[in-house]
Amino acid sequence: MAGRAAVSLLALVLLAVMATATAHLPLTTYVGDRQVPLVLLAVATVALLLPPTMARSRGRFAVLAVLALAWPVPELAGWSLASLELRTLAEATTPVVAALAVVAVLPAGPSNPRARAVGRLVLLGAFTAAGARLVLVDPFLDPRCWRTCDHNPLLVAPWQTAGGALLIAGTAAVAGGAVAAVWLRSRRAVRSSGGRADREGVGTLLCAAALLTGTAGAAVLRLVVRERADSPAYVLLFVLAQLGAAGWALSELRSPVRQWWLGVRLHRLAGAVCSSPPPGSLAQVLRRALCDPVLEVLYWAPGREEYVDPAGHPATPPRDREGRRTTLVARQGQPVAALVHAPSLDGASLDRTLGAALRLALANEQLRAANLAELAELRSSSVRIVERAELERRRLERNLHDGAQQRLVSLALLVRMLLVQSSDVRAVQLAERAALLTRLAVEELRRVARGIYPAVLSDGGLAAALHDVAESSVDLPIQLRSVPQGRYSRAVETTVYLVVAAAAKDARSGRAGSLRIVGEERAGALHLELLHDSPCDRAVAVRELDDQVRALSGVLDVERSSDGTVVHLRLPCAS
Amino acid sequence: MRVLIADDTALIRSGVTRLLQESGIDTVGEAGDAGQLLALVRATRPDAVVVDIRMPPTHTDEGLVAARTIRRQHPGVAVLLLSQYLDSSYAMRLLQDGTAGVGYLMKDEVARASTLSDALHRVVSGECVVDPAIVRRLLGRARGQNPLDALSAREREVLALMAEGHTNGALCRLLSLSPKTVESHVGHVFSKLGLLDEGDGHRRVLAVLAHLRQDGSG
Repeated sequence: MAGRAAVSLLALVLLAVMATATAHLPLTTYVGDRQVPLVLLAVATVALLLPPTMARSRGRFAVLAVLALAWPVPELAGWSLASLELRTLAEATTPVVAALAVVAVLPAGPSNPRARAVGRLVLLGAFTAAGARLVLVDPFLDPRCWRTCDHNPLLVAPWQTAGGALLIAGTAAVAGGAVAAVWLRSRRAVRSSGGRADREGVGTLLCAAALLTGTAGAAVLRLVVRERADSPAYVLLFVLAQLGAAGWALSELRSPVRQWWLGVRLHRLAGAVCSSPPPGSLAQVLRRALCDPVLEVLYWAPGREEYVDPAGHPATPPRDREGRRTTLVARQGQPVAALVHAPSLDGASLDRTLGAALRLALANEQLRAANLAELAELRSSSVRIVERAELERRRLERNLHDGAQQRLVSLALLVRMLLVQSSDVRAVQLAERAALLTRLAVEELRRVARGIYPAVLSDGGLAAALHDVAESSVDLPIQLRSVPQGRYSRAVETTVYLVVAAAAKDARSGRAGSLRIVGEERAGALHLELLHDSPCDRAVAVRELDDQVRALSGVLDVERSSDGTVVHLRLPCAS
Repeated sequence: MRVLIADDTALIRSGVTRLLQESGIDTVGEAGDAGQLLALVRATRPDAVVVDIRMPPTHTDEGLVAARTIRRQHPGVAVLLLSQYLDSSYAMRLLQDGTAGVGYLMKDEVARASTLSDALHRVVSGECVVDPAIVRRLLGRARGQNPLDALSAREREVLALMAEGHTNGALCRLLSLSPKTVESHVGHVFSKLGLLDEGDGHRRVLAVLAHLRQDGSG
């Protein structure tokens, strides 16, 4: 902090000296009698004062602060009405300002040795060029001079050739550094956006390029062409530099401002979390807080050793993928959740910013999601049990029909041959009895197979099977008022069928006069109502199916009605 | 008469073949599954095919599907479907494309004397055959308000025979009645059931079966 204060103080003193020195002068920059360039300069200068306040390291703060303060120097102090000393000083500042801009634009951070090397080289070149211009070069001594020919009052030694060479070399180093900075910056922008250039990255890069072209370009141009307020090349470079500086400074602010805003919202979010939001809504709250409408929150389910979504469904393991980044959140060393968010959000700082309350809320949601996952597993396991029982029924039915029954029919055919070929009366009588017994056996077998599993259920669906239940009833009139006509999962079709068959059995045992069935598919579930006029306590067979209905997340209710019993069945059927 | 037999059990195929031989009906080919059957129909152009409803690969209703395909692609080939199912819904599925030259017979009836050959003769001559067991089941089911109660015993007989696919001529023969009497019985049945008299045509079977399949609850 002391360093920052010292640098700020020094910069303020410099500005004050410069302001005093130029106070008596009319404004003599590109402004001339126009106001637009002055406004540009003012905006850029103010904008450049902002990034230092967000700098993370002391060195970067120094660079940004000096850049901000030195920024207007070449423009305001360098013109014809100022004293010769100030003009020389201002002209010498030109490569330094360009070099500071290069260092400011270079990708920051200690992990980038190439950027550091470029920064050092550029600063060395700038100070070399500035020093040479200040003390070694006097254009007035140059017999060939016909351009930048003001007398240098600060001249120490008139080493014209050596000074000129140092000036050119230093400026070249700054210009080379500017090109390298833009290149390094563009590579980083491409890498951080996962190979695709995003609009924000391109904008920052364009601003930086404009800033560096304006400053370094002007430094180079000054070696060749005398600076004049009405020279189109200088005016163009001036405008580029001001616009680039303002744009770059504002884009540098974007990330810290966003981080600050994120902190504010997370803080508010923590408050909201303390007032316990509805279960499962934390992801929605985070999406709003982080302004990321497709943000995903996945929770670690310890029992299953995998990540699940807030509803407990298995999720693809969180990892960085195209355009998304993943931040893992842990609590007391245990994984809690994974946030899959936009790459513009810095994962490490997001993790830092999450408050204790939010972490606790995430842990609560994690518990809930993990429980839901367990529940879902339990449900699907009971569905599988129902399905397996159903498959077993079908297998038995098929074995009876395609095995035993085929053999019995073959046997009947053989007996028939016997009948035709035999002439013995006794043998014919026996064969006729055998034929009768075989036919009875086939009929019996058919009835048994049908009781195990009605083939019409898988061939024709629920409607056909219920129709057949009604058609085969000889003692109890069964009226089908309406029947769901669609095809559903085997487990669902079989369960509905079994409930209807059980209700028919109960109605028969209670000597009901009729059974009425009303059914429909509504809102992803089958709704059936079975009414019969026998006592409610006789509904034994239906009640036995309660577990099977529950296994499929359905509800089975048996109630007393005004004229007997009513069975309500609701079975989810969304496939 | 030239007949094709399709069943996945060889024992049944040979049994049925011999049974038909006794009745003077030639078997021109045997198929073990639906694909083989369709190829044989194209190759041999039989008068009729006898198809088991359950055939490989799923053993559910492959035979029914094959029978309907044959009716569509070869209208000149009569089809007799042998089934294990009493459910009228299977018979309705077979008959819905047209009833002429189509039959639905319970499989365990094939061993009965002359049942199979009679049915074959009827479908080859363009009639419709529905197994009496299925009609009995439809007539015998419990109903709330039973419109069949209004019919006399003779009229119920006439209704059953119509549902089995018999023509008026066959009714005269089977019931030993004069054509005029049969026509008057048929007229009574239709008016008592509130049905439109479709005449002696092929639509009559479907109309009668559809009426019988209703549960009578109005």
